Amino acid sequence: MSERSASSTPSWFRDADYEFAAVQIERLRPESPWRKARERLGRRASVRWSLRFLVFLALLSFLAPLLPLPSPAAITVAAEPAPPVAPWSAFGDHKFVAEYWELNPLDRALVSLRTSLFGKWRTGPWLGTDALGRDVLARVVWGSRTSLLVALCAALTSLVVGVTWGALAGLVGGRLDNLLMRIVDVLFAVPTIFIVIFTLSFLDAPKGAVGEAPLLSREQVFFLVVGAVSWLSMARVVRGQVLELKRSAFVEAARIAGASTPWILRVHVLPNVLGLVIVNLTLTLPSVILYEAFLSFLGLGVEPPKVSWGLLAAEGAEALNPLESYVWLIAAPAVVMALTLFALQTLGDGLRDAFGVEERSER
Amino acid sequence: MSLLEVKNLRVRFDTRRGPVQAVEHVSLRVERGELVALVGESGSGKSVSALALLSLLPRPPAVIETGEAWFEGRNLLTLGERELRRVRGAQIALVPQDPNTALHPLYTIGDQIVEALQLHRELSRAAARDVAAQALSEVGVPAARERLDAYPHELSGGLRQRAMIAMAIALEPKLLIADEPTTALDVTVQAQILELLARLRRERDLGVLLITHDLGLVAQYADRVGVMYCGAIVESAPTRELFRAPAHPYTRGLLASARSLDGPQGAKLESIGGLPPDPLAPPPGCAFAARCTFAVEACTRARPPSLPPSGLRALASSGVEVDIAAERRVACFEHERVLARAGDLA
Amino acid sequence: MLRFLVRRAAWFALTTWVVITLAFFLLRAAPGGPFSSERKLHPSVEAALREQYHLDWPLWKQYLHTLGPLNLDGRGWLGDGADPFGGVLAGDFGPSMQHRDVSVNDVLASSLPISITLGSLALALALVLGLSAGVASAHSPGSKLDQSVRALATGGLVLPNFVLASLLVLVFAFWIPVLPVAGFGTPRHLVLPSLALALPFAAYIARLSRAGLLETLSKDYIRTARAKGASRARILWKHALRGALAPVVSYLGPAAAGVLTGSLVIERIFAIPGAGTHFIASALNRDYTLAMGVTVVYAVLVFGFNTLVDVAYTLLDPRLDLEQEA
Repeated sequence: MSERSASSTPSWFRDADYEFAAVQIERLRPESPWRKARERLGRRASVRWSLRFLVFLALLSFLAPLLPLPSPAAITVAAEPAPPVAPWSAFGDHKFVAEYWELNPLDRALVSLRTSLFGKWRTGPWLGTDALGRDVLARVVWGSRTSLLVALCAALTSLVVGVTWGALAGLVGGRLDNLLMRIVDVLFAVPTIFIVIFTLSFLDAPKGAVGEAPLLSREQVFFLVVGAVSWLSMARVVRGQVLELKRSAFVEAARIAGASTPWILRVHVLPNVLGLVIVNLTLTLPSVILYEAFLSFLGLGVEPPKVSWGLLAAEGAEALNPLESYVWLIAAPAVVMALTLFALQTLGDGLRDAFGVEERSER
Repeated sequence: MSLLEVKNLRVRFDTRRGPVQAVEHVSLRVERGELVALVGESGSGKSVSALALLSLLPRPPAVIETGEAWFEGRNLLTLGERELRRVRGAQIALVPQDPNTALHPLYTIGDQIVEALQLHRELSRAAARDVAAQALSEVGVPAARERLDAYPHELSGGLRQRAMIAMAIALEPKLLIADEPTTALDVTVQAQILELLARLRRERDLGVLLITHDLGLVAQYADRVGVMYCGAIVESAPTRELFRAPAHPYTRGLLASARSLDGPQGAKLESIGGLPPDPLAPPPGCAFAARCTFAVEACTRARPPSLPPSGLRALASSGVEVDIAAERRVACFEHERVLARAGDLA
Repeated sequence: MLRFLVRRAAWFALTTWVVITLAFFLLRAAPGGPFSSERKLHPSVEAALREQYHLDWPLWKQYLHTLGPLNLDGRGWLGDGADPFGGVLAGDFGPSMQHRDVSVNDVLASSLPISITLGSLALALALVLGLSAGVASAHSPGSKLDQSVRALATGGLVLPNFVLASLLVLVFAFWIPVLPVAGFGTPRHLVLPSLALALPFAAYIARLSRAGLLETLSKDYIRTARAKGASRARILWKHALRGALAPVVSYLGPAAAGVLTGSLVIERIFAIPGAGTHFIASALNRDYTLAMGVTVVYAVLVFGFNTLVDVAYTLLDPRLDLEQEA
């Protein structure tokens, strides 16, 4: 320090100097982006509740066969849709019939566990029943399986195909980048809805025709198609981010300091891309679920007796007429779907704030 | 009567992490035709003070706690929005810091200057364009008329800043607030811009409040200087007096470090050790005490008030050329000792 | 500009070709043909039909004939030369395979204008509603108005459009019988369908414009405008909106495609005889030519609209250069 003459400077000030600096440095020390993100994520109550809701939903959905709900597929012919009954008026009865479509082994095990736990007890018509006497609550819960599965499938495809595609294009650059992105551009430009409808019409064996058993079930094709359509935007977004990172100052600085490419990828590129990927994923899931509903309405989604939210909403919409408005038939799946989508969006927004990703509109 | 008189301005920011006193205590005066500089490091509160005068701070989170800003017999801080709008641009103009972001990217600079004119005067578009072109050429923009139709991104940094100044002076304001007008520009352009401001000041009897952190500019162009630290003006004086005989340790430190840049090669660069205090946890007593080489116990207990310095006479008699009648203020308990050392700085 | 348009045209050709080819092969890959869904036809009748529609030709020949621009049947180059051009590239989609005496072009001519009217109306509504909501929101962020607008916008984004349509029908046709439930003919018939179609997009535009406005309002040049003495309203409408419009305009492209997709459902709910209705039926009935026709036309429309949007985008922001289109 300048100007220090021994007589005019008390020694304790010199110490205070260093201590002060130490305190400042402590305060300025950067936190890990993950820790900061986590902290920011938990800040808003709406985000926390959305996460809890989604976890709860996922659990409920997975454990559906175990829950003491009525069968979602048991038909009572010539019934009329019955409005919801409050739980305290009709808590349940003992008329459970284990009627389902073909279940996988795990689900079957869960069902048998359920019967041993609850016997023939089942919940009452808390959300009403539809025109075929099927319990709406059960159908909504079972329907969540399909809808969530569709979302998951799209997410996985998006992740695997989209991220790899985009990262490759961004990292390698040059002609490969050009080629990969041209393909994405063309696929983007093609109105996929037509491709989807064509593809799904494959499986619709025309009435009266001698059936050639199709390679894949309608459901399988459905999942494939949804996945095939969802990775495009992720690829674009990832490529954009990778390119930006490649040119960024801190990557350049790392390179100058002598860092190897794998190191740069791991420490600098990956964390920054991951944030964007997570945000993008969470924010495109709602559109996938809506897409499924859309296709179900057109009759191209899962087939009865299997059930999905989209199918339920479609049935509910068709049941509306000016004489008897069976509101609950459409309200139940619509409300649940709306809540889920809203939770997804809130979570996505929270993640976006947490990771500091900018909002940008999709091109 | 002074053109602008600010008394006891205090501005607080209510942030998520707690309240921050951005401006602790600012009082200053600008006369017609005078260029007053407000110097300080980043975060010292100088820009905030300037913006507060025109009520341009976003509130919330900013809160103007106390203060008066007398301009033409009215207290700017108590004016309603409509009144303020009439003052802004026409009576008091702002030249903001970064011309790259301060100009609207989607409109031509001609449009922007014309808008400023039409907001305050009854002018047809053609007439306004004439005035705009005139203003542009006055600030030294070549081919002014053609430039009216240029977009900001088509101009260089220096030209953009000139355009901003043109927009500011087109309405012939009485006071110009220049918020670090040269910080975003390169060195060669800086001098030109300041020359321009000085010339305009002379020609139009403008009062200029110059916010800057560049002591060199201050030495060359300012009539009076206010040195800010941690939201308060710690010393104010006519420029020459300040440089000749600083009374505050912070000022002294600044001058010493600035001068050391021109020192002999190989000599150590002087600096003020330590860091400014955490704005969320201001220390009791003088904010500079922790870094101050003249500090004593008393400095950490109470904030020194801003008073005219004593000891000027003694300094003058010791041979240092000082103006004992100059109007000065300093906020330091130990300023006499600082003044006594003025001879070392020569 | 010219280079841009030329490049766009080339792109357009490529995309259209891909669409045609994909559609062609996907349709033919589906089991069953256009005639298998009807009551069993006498073999000779079926054979005659197949010949009429050239379904007995080898696949590559069918493809080239469909693609055009040369007509490969008896009346084209190889035959008597009366009708040398045909196929999609010549603008002829051929005869409908399901509606026997009608050409696809005729079907399109009658139904397309209806769909386009509906679609344009919906898009316009979406813009107007969305922007006003966004501006109102950004004007006083955090206020009750802002919160209710945001809640409504969220509602539009989390419900499938047929649910929204059902809601509208419930309220405005059943409970308060002011508007017709379905059908087409009078302007009143267009209100509910276009509203139902527009809502999800209006919601997103509201969101985009609000976010864009809030971000723009924090920029330095807004402060400059205030320092000049501009009023709040002026700043909002003249300075901020222009900057915030960019993401909205760029969203119009995907929005148009979405309106198209959504119209398939809306046309069905409201029994509107648009091209969308025909499309679904044609896909299910393996009416190759009609399906192809609708697909190609829609693809062209979307592409054209996207191009317009790109041009508009560069007009908005003078810093952008069309030539920079990657």
